[in-house]
Amino acid sequence: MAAAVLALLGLLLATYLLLHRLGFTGPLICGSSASCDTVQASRYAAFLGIPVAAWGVGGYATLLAVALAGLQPQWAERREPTLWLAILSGLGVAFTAYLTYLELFVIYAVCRWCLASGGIIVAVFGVSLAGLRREKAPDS
Amino acid sequence: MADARRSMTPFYAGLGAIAVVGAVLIGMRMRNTSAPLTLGPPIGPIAPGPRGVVYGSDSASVEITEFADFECGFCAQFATVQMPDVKTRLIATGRVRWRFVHFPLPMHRNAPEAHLAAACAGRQDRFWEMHDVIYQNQSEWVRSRRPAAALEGYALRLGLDGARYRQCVSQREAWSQVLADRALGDSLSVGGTPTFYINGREWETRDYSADRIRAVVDSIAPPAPAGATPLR
Repeated sequence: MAAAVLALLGLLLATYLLLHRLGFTGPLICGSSASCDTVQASRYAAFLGIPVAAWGVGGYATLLAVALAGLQPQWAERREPTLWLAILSGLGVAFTAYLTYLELFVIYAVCRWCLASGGIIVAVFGVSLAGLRREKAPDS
Repeated sequence: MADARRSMTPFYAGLGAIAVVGAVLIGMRMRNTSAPLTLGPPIGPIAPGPRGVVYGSDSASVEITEFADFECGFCAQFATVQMPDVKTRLIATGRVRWRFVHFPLPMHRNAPEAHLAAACAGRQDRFWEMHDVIYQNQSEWVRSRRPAAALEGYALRLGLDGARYRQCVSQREAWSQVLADRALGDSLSVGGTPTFYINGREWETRDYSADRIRAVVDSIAPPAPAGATPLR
């Protein structure tokens, strides 16, 4: 349940950042005092030609779908949904670490919304790891 | 199973509530494109010296000054999507004179080379063609480790005198013009790009589409014959 709530929060955050990137929210200005604008205007705001925020929307939507699937009666007792949550959120943590490195040491601007998203993905990873340990405990 | 579904109902209701609240908060942050057309207080002549590069009629009643950075994605979007319309409807018709002011931002690694290239093209009276081609190819030279080579390629493709262009770039002959423009922006506390001034007053806007620019120009100098869109 916690993973689903966190994934939904991440999805909302990533949607806001994507709308910002596409120019629907916030000022459309490079170099303003807002660090998110600096990050969003940098060449690193896209990965493989797709805005990083769009990857976030896709990633969180997938996490939300997996988390909700894991709550369904037919999946509730099975380990696969939690395992997939751990794998996907683990990838998300690695990607977030890379983006945070870019912000700190390449772009020299830290976007607080990106940090919030990083916190959420780390929390999803932690919750899914805890879930895996709980599921393993009865056998050990 | 029905019991299990029932016990999950409050959870799904809570999840839905979070989604609705989030969507409302995002909606409140959306740009309000129907905001009034506001100009800041007059600051006097925008360019006391030969600052910037001018395009359009000297007799135009409206001068729009744009502080821009060639590496800025928003500037590129404006130059490639909105500016053609502005040129056709406002500049070519003699209503607006456009002044481009170099404002390379410190965070953009390749911007100085691009501004120098454009200023050097300007020395051969080809600034605006170079301006367009630099923005159109922004994704290419911005990622390049040798932006000067890419920029020289554009200059040669435009038919500039290669020897003169190379001399200008290697000796940084036009760099003082870029620095002077940048200093003008600093003196006006320009914080980002693009920033617009209209007849010496800062245009405080989040929406600088061609239609919006036309509306603000209409409010200052109604097009002939009478029947301009009133200022909201």
